[in-house]
Amino acid sequence: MHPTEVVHHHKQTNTGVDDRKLGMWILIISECFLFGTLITNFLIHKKSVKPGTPGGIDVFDIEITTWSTFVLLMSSVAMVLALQACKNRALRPFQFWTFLVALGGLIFLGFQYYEFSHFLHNDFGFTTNLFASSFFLLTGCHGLHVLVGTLWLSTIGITSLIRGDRWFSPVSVEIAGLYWHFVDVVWIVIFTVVYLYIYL
Amino acid sequence: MPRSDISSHDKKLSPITKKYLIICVVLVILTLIEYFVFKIETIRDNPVIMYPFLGALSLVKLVLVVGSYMHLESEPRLLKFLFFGTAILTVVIFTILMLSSPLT
Repeated sequence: MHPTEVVHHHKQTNTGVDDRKLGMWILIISECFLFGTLITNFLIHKKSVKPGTPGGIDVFDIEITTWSTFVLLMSSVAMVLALQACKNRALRPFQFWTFLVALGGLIFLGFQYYEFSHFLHNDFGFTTNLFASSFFLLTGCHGLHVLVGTLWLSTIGITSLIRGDRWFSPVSVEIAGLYWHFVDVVWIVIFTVVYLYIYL
Repeated sequence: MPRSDISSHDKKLSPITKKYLIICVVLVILTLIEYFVFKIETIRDNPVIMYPFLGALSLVKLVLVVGSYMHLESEPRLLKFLFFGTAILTVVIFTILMLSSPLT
């Protein structure tokens, strides 16, 4: 084993998994159903574009979405590096990577704000048609998850700034990381199903 | 381990960090492939090739993130079963719902 790798120490449980981690996995599983519902709703209403109103092909900007996908992927890498630094009790790298993840979340939200403003400028709003409603519901719900993750990770970063190396909780960081990676996974699916499959 | 040893050692990338960075590069390359496949009109006009190909790339990205970054590959079988079982169940249930909808 590499010296910088630290062995996981979990509390002994019946399942063999730390209870807090298991709780996060169960939340993730329930979120699978939530996003499954929203994606299905989007696919069902994909063709529900009233004549004379804009559809996805008219307003989507694939370059912007590819950039925001790139940002989210980079933030996922920063997240695993933050967890690695936390396990190694390396305070500065841990703070650096944690704030980088939060910054990634903020940039992603900035892209989403820009995208939504651009849509509204082109008369593509929440009530334009069923396609627009299901699109905003799905991507808005995902954006809300990114916001929660950003706040969560900022809180972890600020706590470590205040408490210094008295605060190291790899399990807490791992749980936040699981949530963040799940948000990334959902975006991987949304990017393909909503944006790249637009001509389907 | 003394603090100085740790800091001198940290200058080298650990194998696990290297693995994360390699996966990151793969994810970026796959996203770029998705983008260019979408942009090339000859491929875009051929839905039989384009959609399964994009779906497969997306699936590879998903498995890479869940397996490596979420550490599911090193987790107990219970978690693997819970996650992939639920993911498959979600896809099956919602595909049935979607196909039975009069709007699709």
